[in-house]
Order: sequence, then structure tokens, then C-alpha cells
Amino acid sequence: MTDHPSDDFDEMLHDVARDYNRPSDVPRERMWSAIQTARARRPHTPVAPWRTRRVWLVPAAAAAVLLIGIAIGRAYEHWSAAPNARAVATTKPDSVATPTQAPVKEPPGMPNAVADATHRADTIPPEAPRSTPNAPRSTPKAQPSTHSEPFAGNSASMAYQLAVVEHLAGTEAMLTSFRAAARHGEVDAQITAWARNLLTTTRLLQASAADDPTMKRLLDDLELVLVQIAQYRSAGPHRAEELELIEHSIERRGVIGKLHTNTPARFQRAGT
Amino acid sequence: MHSTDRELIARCLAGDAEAERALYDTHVDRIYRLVYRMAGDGDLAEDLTQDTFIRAFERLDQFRGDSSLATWLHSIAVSVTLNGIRKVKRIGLRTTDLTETPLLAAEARTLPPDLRTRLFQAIDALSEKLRPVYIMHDIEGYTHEEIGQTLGIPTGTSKARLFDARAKLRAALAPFAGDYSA
Repeated sequence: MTDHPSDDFDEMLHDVARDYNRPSDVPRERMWSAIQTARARRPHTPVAPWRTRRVWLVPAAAAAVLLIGIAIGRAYEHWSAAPNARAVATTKPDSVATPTQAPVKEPPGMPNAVADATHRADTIPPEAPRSTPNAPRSTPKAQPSTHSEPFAGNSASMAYQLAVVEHLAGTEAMLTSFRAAARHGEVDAQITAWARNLLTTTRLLQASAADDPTMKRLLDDLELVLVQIAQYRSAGPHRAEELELIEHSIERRGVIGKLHTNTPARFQRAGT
Repeated sequence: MHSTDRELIARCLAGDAEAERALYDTHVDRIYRLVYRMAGDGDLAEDLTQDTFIRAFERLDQFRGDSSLATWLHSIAVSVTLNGIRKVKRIGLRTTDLTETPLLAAEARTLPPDLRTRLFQAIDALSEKLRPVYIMHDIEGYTHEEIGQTLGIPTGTSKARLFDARAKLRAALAPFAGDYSA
């Protein structure tokens, strides 16, 4: 005899335990009726695609991009105002015309003062200081560069710059969402629609980026990738191969990397 | 995810009432049994089973297919049941009068008079971690893999909890072991 319970004892416990809270017959119909009644009381709507957790990523990403765009816009406005003010302050004592400005031939009979005023109104940018007949010509550093930085300067180019930055950020967000969805092989129609919208904007921006080779190359690469995503059909028979090709295209062109590095760099350059 | 599960879920999400009923019919027996074993009361088991399916239908769109539909439903059932039992205990409605168990009186004739009652009380007294594992494995016959997936614990943890649960029951029933000692 030992103090340890035998296997028989364990087996007996096991057998007896089977009667623990032994269920009665399953009241299927009664429970089903109760379930139906309870569900009918609650506001039930068929599950729409936008209610699924994954699809929420798209509007969430869009909202994030919008916020980033607003933040960048405000920061850009703040930073670009300061250098302009400094430029005016440093050039005001010299008060010169632009380096390319040709000597003015006054129309016969027109007083000097009137001719001078007319010419200034036509040719001198609003922020340029008034010129005087004996003043030396301005130094190049006092003038804002308009050749190397096509986006800096007036409000129209600023708006274009902001649109570019926002578009690039939006495209990066879309590509990130696409790759995340593609990993599970579940790229839905919302992402392809998003790509189509971005493709339209890309083509609009391409037309204005002719004098900026870096931006043009980036937009060209984006266009090719966006076309592939926009044409992707989730119901297609070769969707896995298509996703692989798109992924390959993104990798080969290094689009994500370019977007990630190019956007802040350009933004910083425009702000200086 | 099993293809039939996927089809059934797709039909349910599309509002197909027959598919909902098919899903219910496929899983309700096993879920009700488990809930009843854990709740120990018919009315409570019914309520908790209903609640399980109501929640499952509400959240079906969130089912990702990482596990089988059965495992997902059992996870909801265990969660709903443990919460329900806690709630009932809090408001003091749950009775532990095990003499109401239907088969108790019939089989008590062949066993020491208190053994059955003591065993059931000991199972009742198991902690919230040990009791579901013991009920699922030793009483309802789930595998450790199924238990692990349902409770969200590793298989090894399930085995360790079962070992602990059995040890506690043996300790609680030690006074009756004399008749069975080797």
C-alpha cells in the first residue's frame, strides 16, 4: 500500500468527471429563435466592404496624407516668408534693377520721371526695389534664383510645389498600402481606384515638370507603376503573377526609395 | 481557412439566411456542450450560447481565417462564458447545489457517497486558467492543439495547465484514494 493514488483512482476520477455538468439535449430551435429575435432588435445592416478592417486603411491613409500636406504647406509658408523678407532688406540700400534689364530708351517727348515709372511697372517684380539713375547694378546674390529652382518665387509656383509634395506623399502612402495588401494577395478595388486618381494627377504634374529633369524622371517612373496598379483586376485569372510583376516594377525602379528621399529634399531646397 | 468555411462566411456576409442557419447548425452542438459544462446551468448555457452566435454573426466580417471557423467560434464562446460566469458570480445568482445534477443520484449508488460531490466541487474550485483546459480536454475530449488555439495559449501551456488541474483534483480527492491505492 502506498499513499499515492493508483491509476485506477485516476481512471475513476476521469470517469466520474464526465458527468460534471452533463449537458441536456441541445435546444436548437429555441436558441435559434432567440438569436433571430435579438438580432432583429439590433440595427442590422449588411456588412459593407468599407466596414471591414482592412478597407479602413485606405481612407485612414488618405486622411494621414492630407494632414501631412497641410502641415508641410504651413511649414513651407512659414519658412519661405523669412528668406524673402531678408532679401528685400539686404537689397533695399542698393536699389537696382535685374541683371538682365536693358537700358531704357525713353519715348520722345516723355518726361524722364514718367518713363522711368512706366518701365518699372512693366518689368520690375513687385518685391524689387526702385532703381535710381546713378545706382550700381545689383549683385547676383541679391536676386532670387529663378532658373535653378522653378518652384520658388511667386504664389503660383508655390502652389505647384505644394501640390507636388502632397502628391508624392499620397503616392507613397498608396504604394505602401498596395504592397501591404499584395502580400496577402488581397488588393481590392479601392486601391486600384486610388491608383487611377493618382495617375491622373501624375500626368497633370508631368506637363509642368519639363524643366526639372529629376522630378520628370520620378513622375515618369510613378506613371508606369501607377498604370500597372490601376489596371490590376483582383478577379483576374493571373492575379498572383500580376502582383508579382507590379512588385518587381516597384523594386526595380526604386520608386518607394525615391519618393521617400526625394520629397523632403526638394521641399527643403525650395524653402531655403 | 477551409474552403467550405470561406464560402459559408461569404454567403453569411451577403445576408444569406440559409447560410447563417447552416453555420449555426454546424457548430451549435459542440459549443452548447462546452458552454454548458462550464456554466453548469441550462438557462445560463442557453443565454451564453445565444450570445456567442449573436456576437459571431456581428463580427463575422472581422474573421481573418487565421484559424478555423470552429476555433474562432469556440474562442468567442469561452470568452463569453467566462465573462458570463464572472457576472453571475458577482450578482450571486449562481448556485453550486450540485445535487440538482440529473445523473447524480442515479450513479451515486456505486460510489462513495461524497466522492462525486467532492470532485464536482473541486472542479468548480479550479482557477479560471485551469478549469477550461480540464473541461475541454478530460471531459469534452478536445486536443491540446485545439485548446491552445481556442484559448490563445501555446500547446505546452495547455498541457501544463491540465497537469496542474489533475494534481489539484487528486489532492482534493485524496481522502478517497485509500480504496484505490496500489
